[in-house]
Amino acid sequence: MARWIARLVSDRTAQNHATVAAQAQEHEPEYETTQVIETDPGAALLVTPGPHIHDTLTAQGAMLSVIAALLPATGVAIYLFGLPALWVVVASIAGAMATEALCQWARKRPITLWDGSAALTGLLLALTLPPTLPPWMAVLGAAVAIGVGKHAFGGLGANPFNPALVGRAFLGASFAAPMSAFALPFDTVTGATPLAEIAATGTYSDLWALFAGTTGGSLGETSAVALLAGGAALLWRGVIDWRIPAGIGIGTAAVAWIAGVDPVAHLLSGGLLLGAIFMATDWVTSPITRKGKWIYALSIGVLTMVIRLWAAAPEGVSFAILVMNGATPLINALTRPKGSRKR
Amino acid sequence: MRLTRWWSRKGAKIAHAKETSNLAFEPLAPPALLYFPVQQHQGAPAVPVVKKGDEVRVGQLLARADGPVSANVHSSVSGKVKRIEPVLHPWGIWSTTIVVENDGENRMAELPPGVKDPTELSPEEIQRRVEEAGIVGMGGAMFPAAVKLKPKARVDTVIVNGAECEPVLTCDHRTMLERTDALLYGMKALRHALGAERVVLAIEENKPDAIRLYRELSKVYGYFEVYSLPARYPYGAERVLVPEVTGRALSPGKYPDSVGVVVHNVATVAAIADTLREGLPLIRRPLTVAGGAVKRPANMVVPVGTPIAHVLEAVGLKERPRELVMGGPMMGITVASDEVPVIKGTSGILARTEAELHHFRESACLRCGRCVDTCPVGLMPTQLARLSARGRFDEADRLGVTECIECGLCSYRCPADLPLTQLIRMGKREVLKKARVKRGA
Ligand code: SF4
Ligand code: SF4
Repeated sequence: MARWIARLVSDRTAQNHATVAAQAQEHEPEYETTQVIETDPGAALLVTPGPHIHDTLTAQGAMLSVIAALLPATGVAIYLFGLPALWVVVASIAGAMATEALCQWARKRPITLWDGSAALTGLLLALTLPPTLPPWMAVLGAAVAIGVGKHAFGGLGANPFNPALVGRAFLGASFAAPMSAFALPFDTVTGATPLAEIAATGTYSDLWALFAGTTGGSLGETSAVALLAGGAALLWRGVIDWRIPAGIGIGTAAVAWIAGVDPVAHLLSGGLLLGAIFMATDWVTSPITRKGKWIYALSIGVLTMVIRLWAAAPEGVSFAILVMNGATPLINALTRPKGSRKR
Repeated sequence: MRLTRWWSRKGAKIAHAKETSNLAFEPLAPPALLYFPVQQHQGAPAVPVVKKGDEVRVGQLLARADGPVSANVHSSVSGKVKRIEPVLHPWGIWSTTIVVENDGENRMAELPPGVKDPTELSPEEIQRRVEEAGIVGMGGAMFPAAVKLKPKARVDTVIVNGAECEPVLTCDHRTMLERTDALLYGMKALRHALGAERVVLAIEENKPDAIRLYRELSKVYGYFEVYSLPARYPYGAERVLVPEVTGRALSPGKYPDSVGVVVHNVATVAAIADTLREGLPLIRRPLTVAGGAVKRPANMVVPVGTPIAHVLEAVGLKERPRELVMGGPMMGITVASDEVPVIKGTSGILARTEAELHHFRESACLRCGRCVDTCPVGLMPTQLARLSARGRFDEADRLGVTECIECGLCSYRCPADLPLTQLIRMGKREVLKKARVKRGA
């Protein structure tokens, strides 16, 4: 019995092994390589450096779980705003995926639509748009999000700004009127968003409506309960870091409290939850250190309130996130964990 | 207290997969041929003191330690030295190996007399006997145990490491449950030999039976205490364990003795007890045999020098293994042949199938920060791996690459499936090699 496994290790392995070992022996009594030393398919034993196991969470799994976590909020939006909302979602996702494929083809890269990242960007963008937006504008926004926000910077993992927010900022700057026309649910009459009322009075008359989502606003900012449920699922899966939503919540509430306006109304309105749970937590554009995540998140919370209270634009979350995305490399450099300070 | 512990937690929760934790040790009879490499420890290889054709007995010295950091090697069977030649070693090197043909008679060598109570011996005598017995760290590091018994600075705390944070392995757990008297004896001996004030047995929370048992015993005997560690990987690593148990931070590049602490694995402590109590050198080792290809996973006590093929034969194989790992799935090493012998540091043998293997499908780093969040020594693996892959070793050195304990967590957690640990390990080797060349020049 001993023989048969031993024979599986062909002479070639033994020779390979001897050379590698001889080289390794010069400095360390252990072979070290990132390559598999022996790969005689299906026959010999593999020799690979450890670790030999891997976590179940993959990049694709994470993207797909974020999409899944957004489905309740998307469903509520379609229920509340009807078919126009559905068209915005479909247009945005289709635009994002088509642009991704096109960019990857043009850059001669493998086409990776199935990793879910383009679809996620499209969905996120859709949720920041008003339901009455003409679908072609959503397609354009998605194209800018993927083309300019992502591939112009080198593709997945290299973009400094959240692509969906780049798309939204583009649409907001180009089509100011349709982008600020927010429909009331079950109705296509446009009305004031809760934020406008909060800005005027400091609080909102019907907090329960804010929580359940039966208020005006963009697709995804309406139902707090659906967003929170999705966020809870992502926290449980370990896809997002709790420090970011927590920090944004604390920052926002603190400024609201100091300024003497209703913190709860501000937390539940204006896409803050969508931003805090799904946008600011974007892996690529948020800091990688624990301390950095706190600084980033608290700053987003504070900035959001500053924009809401003292600047002309009421919807401050997306700008706050974009600004802090820009500060992320600096934050990373300043918050290196103990073991990796430059010496 | 609970909150601060949660806040400062290190590493990550990973699947324990300790299915063998209820299986008692089975002794394994030695095979016909045993292989004793002269390198079964960190440091200089030992020098053979027997020659071809010599008769040897159980516990007889085969190779003598060469220098202060080295360890004796003893025979685990009686028989005849068949040859002395380079043989493939678990580490992937060809190491001088003494091949002994077992005569099956189990004749014992003359062993030094044992003592009932370790405090009858002087600290120097304990140190000498441990050195003589060739005891090394059995958690896997294989550092000569006797060296840790003559520390350079004063030691006030001994940590006995029963964390066993590696998934799958259960032999330390079983040692704690089944070798209680040896552990008690060994802890008393260590306390006496080092003049330590505290002996702390550190056990991970996922072994409540062991924690309960030793809490009770510590009430009766009083010379040691029990510390329950979070069940997270890698709380058994010295650089995580020492600050957790003592609250003393380890500076980069420093060993635990710099803060007055030594750490010994539970199996090592039991081996020290065997030596002092019965005169037995380190010739057997407890280990876990598991993996998808194994029919009957088990905990075993295996004579050192036994080829792993013989161990696998005892548990039976369902299918052809694709990978043989010595140690645990996180830090263990794969071996190139089932002919390599069990050595003093072999804590597990995993015969894994193709389905269990992980093949890296590297994609771009997504900057998720999971590797940074999880690194127990506070490194930034994503950066170090990138620098190492590009051969920028000086920069990696400035960012602390030599601090990496090679725990494997960063690779384990990376969703982009990058071989971070593997690259960082290579960078670390390069930096250390350069440093050695510089010192030599
Ligand atoms: S860098 Fe080293 S110490 Fe840090 S997680 Fe990776 S392997 Fe472990
Ligand atoms: S875990 Fe992987 S993907 Fe995430 S930051 Fe580290 S290297 Fe990049």
